[in-house]
Amino acid sequence: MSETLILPWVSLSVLTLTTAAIWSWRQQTAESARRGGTIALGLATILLIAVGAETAFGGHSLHEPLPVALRWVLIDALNATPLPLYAALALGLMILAPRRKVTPQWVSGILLLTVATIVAYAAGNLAIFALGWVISLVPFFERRFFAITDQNPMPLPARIVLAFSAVLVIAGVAMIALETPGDLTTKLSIGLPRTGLSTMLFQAFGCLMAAVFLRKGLVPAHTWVLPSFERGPLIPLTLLFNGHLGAFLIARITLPALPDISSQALPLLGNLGLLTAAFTAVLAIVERQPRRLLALLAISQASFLVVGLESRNPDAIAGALVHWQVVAIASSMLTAVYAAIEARLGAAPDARQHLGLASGAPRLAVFFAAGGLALVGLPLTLGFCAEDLLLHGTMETHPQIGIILPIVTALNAFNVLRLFARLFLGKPSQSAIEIRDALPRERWVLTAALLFLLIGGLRPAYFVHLPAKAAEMIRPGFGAGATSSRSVK
Amino acid sequence: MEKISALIVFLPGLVAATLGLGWLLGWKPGERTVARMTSSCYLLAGVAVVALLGWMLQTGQHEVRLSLGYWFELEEYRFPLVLLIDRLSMPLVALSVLLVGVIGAFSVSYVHRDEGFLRFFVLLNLFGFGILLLFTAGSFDLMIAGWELVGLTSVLLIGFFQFRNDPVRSALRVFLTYRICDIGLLTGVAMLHHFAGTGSFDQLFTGPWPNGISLLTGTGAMIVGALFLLAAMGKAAQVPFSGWLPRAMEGPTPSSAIFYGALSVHAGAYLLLRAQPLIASSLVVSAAVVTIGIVTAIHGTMVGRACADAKTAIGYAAMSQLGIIFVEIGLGLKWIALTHITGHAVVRTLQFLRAPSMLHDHHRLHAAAGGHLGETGAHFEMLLPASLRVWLYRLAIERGHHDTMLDRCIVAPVIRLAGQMEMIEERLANSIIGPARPEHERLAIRNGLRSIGKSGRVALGHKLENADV
Repeated sequence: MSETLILPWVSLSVLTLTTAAIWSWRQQTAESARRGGTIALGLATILLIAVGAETAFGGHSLHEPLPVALRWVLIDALNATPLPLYAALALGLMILAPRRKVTPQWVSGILLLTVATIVAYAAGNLAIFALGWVISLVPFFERRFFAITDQNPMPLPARIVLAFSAVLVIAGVAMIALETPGDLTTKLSIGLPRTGLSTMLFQAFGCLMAAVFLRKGLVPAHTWVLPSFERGPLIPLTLLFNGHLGAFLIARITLPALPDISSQALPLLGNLGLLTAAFTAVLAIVERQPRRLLALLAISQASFLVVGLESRNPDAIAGALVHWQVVAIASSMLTAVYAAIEARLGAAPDARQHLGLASGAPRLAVFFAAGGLALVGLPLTLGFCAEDLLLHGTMETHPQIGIILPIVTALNAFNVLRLFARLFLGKPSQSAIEIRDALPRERWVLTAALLFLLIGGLRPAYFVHLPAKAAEMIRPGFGAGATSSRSVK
Repeated sequence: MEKISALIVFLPGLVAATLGLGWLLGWKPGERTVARMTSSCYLLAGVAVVALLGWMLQTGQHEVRLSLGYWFELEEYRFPLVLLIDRLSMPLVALSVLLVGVIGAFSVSYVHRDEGFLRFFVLLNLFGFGILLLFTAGSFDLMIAGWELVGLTSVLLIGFFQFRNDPVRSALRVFLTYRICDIGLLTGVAMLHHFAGTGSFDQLFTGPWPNGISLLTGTGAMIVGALFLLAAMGKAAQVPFSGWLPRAMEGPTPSSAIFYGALSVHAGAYLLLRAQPLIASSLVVSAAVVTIGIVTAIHGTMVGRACADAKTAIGYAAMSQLGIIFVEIGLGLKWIALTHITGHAVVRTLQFLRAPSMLHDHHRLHAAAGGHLGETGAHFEMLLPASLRVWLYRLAIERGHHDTMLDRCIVAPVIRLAGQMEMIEERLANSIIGPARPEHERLAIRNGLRSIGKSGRVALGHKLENADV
């Protein structure tokens, strides 16, 4: 069933953001560029909220009211939440970014990354998805976007890994198109099931899964994420990582387009996700560099997305999609607070000793603790609901995974609190006492993020509604292997 | 009238949220405002408890059940929000409102002019909300929410004196112990759904407490019961997870009283009492509960006698009583266990609150008695041979070596594993991306790991220190 949106919300937001990206590149001062970028992102967020609202009130597969040849967008329960969420995330990070890091080109890079991710989310065909995937990486290859100095802040091997993931996605999409009979529109259709186990489809599946593996940083590909977080631009990287395009690729393309192969081969990726979650959680115990620890936490918690999506259980799939929202917001809160601290101290703090920063910045401390604990499923936050669904769902299909998940979460909770203690508690030095607390702009944005997590925890029904619909949509991708939840409480 | 139970539970949460979010947005409430909000909250909750109790007695109802709908629901899975006040939870709800209110009033002067005044009261109210949610939860699922809030506020109050490193380290250690044991509750509840398809008390047991019989029996009951026992052991500081209790005494005395004398430590016993039909259906779990209780009671009394500071001695005395409560639960003596919990909570609260002025009290007593206080020290242990007494004393001084045992058997292997993973990761990163960290840091990690391999205690201590556990 295909319906039409009231207005071409997505195209309008893409147009707004692209214009703003070009405009801000040409600005002379960072402040005017940031102001423009903030307005554009605010506008895009409102437009994309309209998309979410239309989908929540009954839309199934929505297209934009444009001529058929220009219809590039497909909106359904799967992307209706990530679209406004990602725009809001970019808006928040744009406002929170420390002043000294922001240049007109930085603003332009963030806008480009945002527009590319939105294009990938909204893509109604395979080629546009691949285009979004590729463009989202461009700002990390052109050093003028995020570098303060002449040197590109992303390590070269990390850029090679990301480039390779883009090549794999293009190859996978091309192979699927080649194997599909019909005209070009049919060949590139994103939701059309390609049944059978032909060699070409297997190769396409392999390419796409390798791209997911690289982009999500599953073990051992996590090695590109850690040095990138350690030396690279923290806020753009957080935005890149929290796009979760790898998980989206599984849900959007692999499961519906390659159902037969997915039902056979996807468990391997799920197990890899579980291994990554456990490996990085254990690794984080001895990690002392805050940036690397943040990266490990983000990777570990984000790996649950793959585990949930692969579980074949609607509760776990819905849990994974709710967890997506939690990881995106909570890990961005952690990164933003940490970036604020770095900017105030003028360098990366040495967290081998307790820094006692709570004495000067108690509000930043509270935001950090609350964000971190929401990330690991603190009750009364949306994280609790996501963990409950994930645990319940995976226990139904894979009890061994259901047992490992709480252990990994427990370790991550300890790691969050450990990092919090190292940064904010303990005997403060003079610089810690003199540090400035959250500025009004930081305070309002972080409070909004915290309220999102708290309201999500108190009234999760609003936040679970679309993921539940999406889970029902994804489940047939597993064919006969899919299970329903046994328990009705 | 059922709606009153929601008022009792959510009032403290509302106060905590108002104070916390207001402060985040720039509001700075004065001490008097905070104190009045807290006292009004517990006064109102107290009146509500009395009204509810009166109504229950008058109408002869044994339980009040309030359904607030579903927290969230999917096509085939629903999380019901049901508050239940029955013969088990009513005494504990009344006790919680009373004791948290008393502690709130006591703390106004205790943390007066402390820069953490507001933080203390936010956490106290959040704890009040957590413990009331725990006691009134109508399902094990909802109980998790209260359980974790209690644990978290407990840890944050242990680290209340945040500008000293020791309370912070102790808080982390306690948090780690809690999290390890909480795995029992999380996995237990998930298993409960797996085996029984529900986590609600009314669907798991045949009748209201204390007459219900578990519908889940056999291996399922044994596994779930064992997992719940693990969770309860952590919260109730039972052997071998007892090492966190003395560390928890780093917090302010009022918080020690409410957490480790009155309510938090009894949460484990409450869980077992609530799940008692399930435990009773498995002989293995019942026997384990009794055995752990006996061992803890003996350990607690032995170590408590060798403690040099008042708060820790009271903490171990509480642990000893908790061991006895576990035995009572294991033997199916539910009413005795419930009475024991309520009485014990009140006595320990008083003892903790008087602990800072214990010497002063003693001197006053001494003076009042004309300098002739009765002799103490004639205990049954004097009947033991001297060599055994020395050996037991050393064991008590070392607190049964439980912490060392846990460090060697659980913490050190995990850290060793983490270190080895780090080396693998580093080699991998070096070969792909180039050196990630300075040479001296890499060497330090390797040397530390080598020392652990030789079981060197100093090196182990050093590594544990670095890992904050």
